[in-house]
Amino acid sequence: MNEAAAGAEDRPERGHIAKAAALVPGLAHLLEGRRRAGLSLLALALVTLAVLVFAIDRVAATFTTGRVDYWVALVTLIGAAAVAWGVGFREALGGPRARAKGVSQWAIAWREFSRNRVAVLGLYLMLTLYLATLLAPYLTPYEPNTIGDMATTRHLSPSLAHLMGTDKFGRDVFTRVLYGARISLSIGLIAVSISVTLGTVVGAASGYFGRVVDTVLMRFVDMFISFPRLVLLITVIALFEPSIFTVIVVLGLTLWPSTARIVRGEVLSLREREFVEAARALGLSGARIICRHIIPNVLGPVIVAATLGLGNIILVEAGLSFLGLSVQPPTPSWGNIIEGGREYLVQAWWVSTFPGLAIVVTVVAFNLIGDGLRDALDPRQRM
Amino acid sequence: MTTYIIRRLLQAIPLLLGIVTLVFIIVHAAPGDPTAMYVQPGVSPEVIEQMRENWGLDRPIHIQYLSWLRSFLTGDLGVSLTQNRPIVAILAERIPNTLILSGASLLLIFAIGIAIGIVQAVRQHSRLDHVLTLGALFLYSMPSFWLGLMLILILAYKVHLLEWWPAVLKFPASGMTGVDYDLMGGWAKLGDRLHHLVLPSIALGVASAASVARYMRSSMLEVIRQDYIRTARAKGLSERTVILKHALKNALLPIVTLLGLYIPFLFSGAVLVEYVFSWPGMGRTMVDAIYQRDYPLVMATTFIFAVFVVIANLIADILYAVVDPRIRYE
Amino acid sequence: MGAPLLRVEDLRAYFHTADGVVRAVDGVSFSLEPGETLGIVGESGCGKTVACLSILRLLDPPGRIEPGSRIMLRDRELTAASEEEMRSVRGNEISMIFQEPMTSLNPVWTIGDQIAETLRRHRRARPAEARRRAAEMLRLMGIGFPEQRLDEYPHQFSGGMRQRAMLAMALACDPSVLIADEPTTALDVTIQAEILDLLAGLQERLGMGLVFVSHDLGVIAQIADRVIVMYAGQVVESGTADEIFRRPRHPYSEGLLRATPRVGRKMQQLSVIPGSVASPKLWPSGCRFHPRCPYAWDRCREELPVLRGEARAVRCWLEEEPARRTGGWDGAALAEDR
Ligand SMILES: Nc1ncnc2c1ncn2[C@@H]1O[C@H](COP(=O)(O)OP(=O)(O)OP(=O)(O)O)[C@@H](O)[C@H]1O
Ligand SMILES: [Mg+2]
Repeated sequence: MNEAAAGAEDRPERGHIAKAAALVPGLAHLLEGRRRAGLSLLALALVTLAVLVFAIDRVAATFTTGRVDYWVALVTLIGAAAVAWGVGFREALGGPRARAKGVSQWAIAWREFSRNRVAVLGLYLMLTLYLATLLAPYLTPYEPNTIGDMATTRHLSPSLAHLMGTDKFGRDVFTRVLYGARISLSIGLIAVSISVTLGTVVGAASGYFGRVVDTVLMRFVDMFISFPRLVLLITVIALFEPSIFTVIVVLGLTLWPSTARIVRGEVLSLREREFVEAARALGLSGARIICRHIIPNVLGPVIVAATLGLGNIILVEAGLSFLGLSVQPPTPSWGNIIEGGREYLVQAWWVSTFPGLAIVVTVVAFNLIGDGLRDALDPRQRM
Repeated sequence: MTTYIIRRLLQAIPLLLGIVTLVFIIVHAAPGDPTAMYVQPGVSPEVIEQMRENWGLDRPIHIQYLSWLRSFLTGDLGVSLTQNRPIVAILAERIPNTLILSGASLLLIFAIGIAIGIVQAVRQHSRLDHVLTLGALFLYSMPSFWLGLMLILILAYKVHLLEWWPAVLKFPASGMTGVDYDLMGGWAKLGDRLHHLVLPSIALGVASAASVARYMRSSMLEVIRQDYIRTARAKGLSERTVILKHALKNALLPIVTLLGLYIPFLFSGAVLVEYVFSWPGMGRTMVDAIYQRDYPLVMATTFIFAVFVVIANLIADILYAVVDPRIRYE
Repeated sequence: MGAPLLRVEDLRAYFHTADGVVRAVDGVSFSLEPGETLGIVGESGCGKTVACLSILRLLDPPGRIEPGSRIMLRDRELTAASEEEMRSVRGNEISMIFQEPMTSLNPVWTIGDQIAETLRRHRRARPAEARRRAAEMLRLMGIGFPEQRLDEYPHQFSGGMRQRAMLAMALACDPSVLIADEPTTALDVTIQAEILDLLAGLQERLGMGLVFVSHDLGVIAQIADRVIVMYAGQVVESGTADEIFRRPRHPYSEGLLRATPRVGRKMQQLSVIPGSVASPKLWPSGCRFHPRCPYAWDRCREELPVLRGEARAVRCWLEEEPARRTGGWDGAALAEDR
């Protein structure tokens, strides 16, 4: 509080500089000495600018081709620019800044998280990945699926024109990795949402109702967990038709047991606490108590599990598409690009190598964020 | 102790029943009649008819379920569609290969993981600790099949370009034995097998080893803070004895329970790694069966994998009781 | 007369943590003769455990014994000894038992193994010999059926029995000094008395020097020959048990005595020293006790008093200006009540 008041007082003296700073995003933050926020905004603004300048012809192409990709990229570009300038502007003009940090659990967790350097690095990595994925059509001049001239563009080694080389069909590997990221990242996100929702509900019910419900549900969970996950997935997907839809649903339906276990454990310890007792004394129904009192309290561990689960799901999905049981070629996904390069592994090592590196970086990013979140939200579990 | 083991064995029975049931449900939840998926050019109508009869698809669902149960429990896993021989016979050839690979990996996982975890805990906050933590994070985030490919690329192919590279460190890219295996003498055969085992077991085990190291480090750090470690030091024991006798056994307790979690993970990895290294195990059999739409074989391998996991969990629990006297004497 | 059995001079043990230096022990001196019991009293957090651990050089980093401190075992300088030498001292010449019998024994090794281990280490005893001696030690500690109990695990022992097993372990090699860090605090009263009797008896029989730490004056009065009173990492008063208990001279000792329940004194009169020990990261200026002292005046806030005297020593400015001893604890306790 004091700090915020002091900031408000010395504001008029620097009024002019601050107003000028409004034009350059991040400058206002930098002037205030908030280096990290300032530099991030500045970088964001520079990236959008650079994309605009270097890929202006492709931005223009947005309006001629009817492809959704381009529109997504354009919206992302506008969004990124808006965020960079908007935040910078608000800071510079001293608008209602969210400076007077409340001491809520989340504010504390966020402060804890932002102190953790590697975790923040993971966050930046992840944001960059998502941004790159969305901007894909502007970041590469090639199309992911267009087969090149077999005679001249087949198996070119990495160069400036083809950052990650070309594959056996003469397609640019960098472009395919970029587009493949969409599949991996979005499958991960959707599947995790499904499994976390399911796991939370099952775990909360199991922990809250106890007795028979608990026994039955937990036996079920034990059984699921003791199945080798990939084997189960392979079996189910093979019986149905492999497609992006099957994969998402099946991944979502098979990953919930671990969340359920975590939530159940939390609920069991919460159940005895006063506010739940009190709610029960007030005669609230079980479902209502679960929704209003228990779920908000188990959110922390669940978020941690979800973030770590995201990395895991990306690995599993890569394995499935490596076996050809996920997205079908020619649509690129990291797993099927690696599989595609396997045949000519020795002659064109780059085809299989780079998508693998992309997987590693992505999963590392999610694991860093997950570990950081765990330290911030759930200090008991600190490793 | 004996009662404990018997109790655990009894608990495994409903789990196995559940797994059989789950496989049953999956088959029946698949779109259409379970035989519909066998109707394809390679399979004659007589086979389909045979299947209908075998599976008793005309009978009510609960009768089907019971007979399904009986055939699985009596070890009658049916006949492979593509190989035209009993699945039991096929698996009998493949299971040992998978066990060799997983066993080697498991050894690697725990030996390396535990050793690194101890070193990190003892040298907490040192540069070595940080480097190992970071390395573990990367290895832990690596897909096993990709690591396998990279190992093949470098240690099986690229090293042939280096003249000075020792021949023992040029590893075979696939299979369990060399082409001239049958002509070798006893020791050479063993050497050849070990040589083929190196890359796949590394690819399969490294991620888990990294994760074991992580757990071992935190478990060891937790134990080192305990009062009894101070007692051990106050007795005048050497640091070596304090760590390897007094701390290690306690720190291993939670790691042993992890065994039960790693086995399913390991088998999942085995499917991919066997595929990459053309290792003739169950995982490879399963993948091939999927490509050839040999569903009875897919079902059987799924079931066997799950059974192995149940057995492994059982062993982990018994091991836990062996190392922790508090459970043993309950 | 030669060198005392154990002499500690100006012991200072600091923890160099990321957010400051914790001066847990900041100038402690005492000596111990064979067959003598030295009691160390002081409130929780005043540095008793850290001082004891320092004698065996068992502080975990970032804890460190500061240069200038001296710990002499007869005429050997322990602060200068190599780690190897220290190991042959620990459990052999100086033994230590701890506050928490429940957690001080390793849960995954048998009692017998843990006792025999000391003998194997220091006496190079063969397994059978070590086992025989371990059983003998258990019997000496008053544990029935020692042969059977050797093969049991700590969780099969009760708290009092575990402390006996700890004692058996500590005394197996006939140490000349035993440091007992609040050995009875975690036990209930009857068992506490048993262990105290056992300790007194053993000391008489074995003739070792005993350093007995406690925050319970009643216990110290029972067992100690001489007493040092610690406050905020320093010795504030020392003397024979009689002197300290009959005629305490430091205001802190006075306060402590008043805080101890005694037969014949009504509960209402029982007073506690108001306030609590400051943080060892930032000791008060001057006399460290002055914020809680009923007599404190300007000088106490500015200058740290020196420890005056030899066998009977007091660290207080009242020693120089006795006239200022007026009002005192009754007034303070009253003020606290209001
Ligand atoms: N590892 C450590 N790091 C930092 N400070 C420590 C550490 N160990 C002890 N201290 C500090 O040293 C001071 C003395 O602790 P010590 O355990 O010696 O107290 P004590 O007199 O034995 O108390 P008790 O009666 O509770 O056992 C404490 O204030 C504590 O905060
Ligand atoms: Mg203590």
